[in-house]
Amino acid sequence: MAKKKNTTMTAVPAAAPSSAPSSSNGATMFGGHAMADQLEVMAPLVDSVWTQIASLSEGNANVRVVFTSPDHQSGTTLMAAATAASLARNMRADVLLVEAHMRQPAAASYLGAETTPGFSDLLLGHTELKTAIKNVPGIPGLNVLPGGTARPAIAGELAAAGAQEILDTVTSSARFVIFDAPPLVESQEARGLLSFVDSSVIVLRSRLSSKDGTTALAELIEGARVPILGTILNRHESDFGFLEGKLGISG
Amino acid sequence: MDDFAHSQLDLEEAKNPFDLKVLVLYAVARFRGLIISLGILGALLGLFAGAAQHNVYSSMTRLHFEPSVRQAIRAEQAYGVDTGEVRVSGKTALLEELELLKDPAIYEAVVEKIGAREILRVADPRSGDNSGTSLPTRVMHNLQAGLIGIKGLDDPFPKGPESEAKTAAYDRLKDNVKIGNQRNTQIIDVKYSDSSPAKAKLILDEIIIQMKARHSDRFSAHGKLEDLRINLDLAFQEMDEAKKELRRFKEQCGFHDLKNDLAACNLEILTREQALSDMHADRGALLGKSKSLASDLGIGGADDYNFSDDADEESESGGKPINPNYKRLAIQLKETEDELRDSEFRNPKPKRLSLPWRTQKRLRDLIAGINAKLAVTDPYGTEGVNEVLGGDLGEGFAESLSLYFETRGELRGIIEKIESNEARIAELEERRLAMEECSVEYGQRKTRFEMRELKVDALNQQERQLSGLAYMDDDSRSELRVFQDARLAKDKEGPQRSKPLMMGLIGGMALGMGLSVLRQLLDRKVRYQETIENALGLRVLCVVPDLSTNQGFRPVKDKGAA
Repeated sequence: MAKKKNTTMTAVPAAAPSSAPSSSNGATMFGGHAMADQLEVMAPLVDSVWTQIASLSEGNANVRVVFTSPDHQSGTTLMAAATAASLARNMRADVLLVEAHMRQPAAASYLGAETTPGFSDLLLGHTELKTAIKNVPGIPGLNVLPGGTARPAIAGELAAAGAQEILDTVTSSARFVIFDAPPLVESQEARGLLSFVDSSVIVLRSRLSSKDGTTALAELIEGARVPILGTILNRHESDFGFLEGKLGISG
Repeated sequence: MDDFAHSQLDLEEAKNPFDLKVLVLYAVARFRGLIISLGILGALLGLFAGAAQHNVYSSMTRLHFEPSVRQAIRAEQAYGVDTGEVRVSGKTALLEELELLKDPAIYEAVVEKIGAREILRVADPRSGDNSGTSLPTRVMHNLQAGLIGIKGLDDPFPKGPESEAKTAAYDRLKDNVKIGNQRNTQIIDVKYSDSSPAKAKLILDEIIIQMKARHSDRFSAHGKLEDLRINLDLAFQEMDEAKKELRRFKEQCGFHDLKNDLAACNLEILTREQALSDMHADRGALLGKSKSLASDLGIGGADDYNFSDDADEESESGGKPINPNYKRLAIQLKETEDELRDSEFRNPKPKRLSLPWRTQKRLRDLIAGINAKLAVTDPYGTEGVNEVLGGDLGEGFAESLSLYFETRGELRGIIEKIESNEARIAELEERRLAMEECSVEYGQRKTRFEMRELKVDALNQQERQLSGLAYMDDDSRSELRVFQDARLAKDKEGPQRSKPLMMGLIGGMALGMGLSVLRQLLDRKVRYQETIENALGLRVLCVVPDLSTNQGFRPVKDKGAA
């Protein structure tokens, strides 16, 4: 099987338009497939992830999990969205997906929700929380706090009292709160999220994520005393793919 | 979380970067292209290496060995001498024969006969091609010929020294000749391999010729006897020559009986030396007597010097004694002249009538007077003797003088005898030295002759023994016959070209696998679930396949993040 070097192969779109409907936007970006369709394709593949997260809810009022990765382009947003959708569908519980990745927000697009206003606008005080949180159409119980207006993160903005209050409110507003975080090793401003979560999931992209970066990220999370629930190996390409369909071997 | 520790994998303890599954199995799958490429490259190299090896054709000759009676007897002795059970077996003789056929002299003779460079030259693989040869075979032969030419095997040692070529050819023969014996038979198989059927047969035929010659030399008493007789003739000639030389030398020396001549010479020398000793004693006695008489007569000193002067003068005068008066006048003249010379030296020019002048005049007058007397005196007569001796000669004096002259005569006679005897002794010693030198040389030549005589005796004895063995061989001679002639090989025996091909294939693939494992080991990216679990110590919740290559799932153009 040919090795693809296209770094834009991930089913992650560029920064979503600030107010356009997500379905039309996704359709233009993915060869006729809406981004929501990709979410539907991915959702069954992350069954083991949402079940692990669901198991954390025993004895806890709510479960807060952060999805992060050692590198950009790893598919963290898609994995977090697919997991949140699966949790909402299968657990029939309130699930809130918080997109803390403000530079290039895309979660709302995947879920077919409005992209703005969102988390970045909320931190700047440009909107209210109830306005920023949006229902995801077609998935009862699933709400999303999108990234909002795309902008670079501001150093220390999550440590501000207002932001802490918002995060406190957010983390208690649903039974399952899923954070979609940027790479924590290089995005120091996002590390503050670790104090608001119970567990973490590391998304690795096969052939892109480095061992050293992964180790550094794991040590960073452990240093914050946040358990690592596990990893998702995304975009894995089997070296035995050439045998697929031969000798009774399936891909 | 209360179960924080439980939910964590130990990052330190779980790390195992040397996961064989990842390092080997996945590496092979991942770099299969590299491995296959290197395998094919290695196989191609192996193919060329195989093609560069020359073809191998073998010829075989079968020999039949028939041991002689003597060899059979030796074999019996070897088998039964210690146990008493004598068994007739030709096995020992056969083993001896097999060893004999491996004699380096055989191969050296073949090298000399055929030529070292011809033996080493690799035949052109195309030489056997004809119209019936298939095209692939011709192509292969052309490839082989090219590679053989590149390797220089068609003309090895083009400029090298002959000795090196001979050594290489000898080694080639030794390596390519196989000698074996069919069990429980007297058949010996000799097989030779070379680069063409014709060359293999040619060289094998020569090897067989040399083997038979070597066999004949080693086991045929007749052959040995002939050699021995040649040697015996040569030894006879040498002995005869030494004998003649000895005789010639003896004649050259000129001694009929060297031993007796030497003894007689020694005896004569001894006798003469004794006589000489007696003569010296007589001479001493006569000399003493003569001196005593001269002293009594007052004519000359009592030493040998005066006698010698007298003797010289007497010898000049034909043996007559010197007149004592003449001698006295001569002495007086000499003394006066000396005195005058001293005076003139002290006073070269004295004044007239002075004392020195008068002394010198008187001495000159005296010298003139003595000269006048000497002029009238016969040096060997008796004139003036009385005047010299101070009066008339008495009867006793005359007798003493006569005795003196007689003694002097005897003394002269004995001296002559001594001189004659000494000359003879010197002559005899010279002769003795020459005889001794001849004796030493003669002894050496005689020893040489005796050595040759001994050699002839020993060879005669060997001839008698070999004659007996040859008589036995006449009944049953050891033979090595060609049972089956060498034939041109129809099919080649080698080389096994699949071997380098397989070696290249396997080697190339092994190299590819090694490189793959190395690259896998040095890969710092996350590729496998096992890497995450074993090397990083993290649990993998799920593996999401790469769907981007699926139709309709590929992004058209995006810069999507995270």
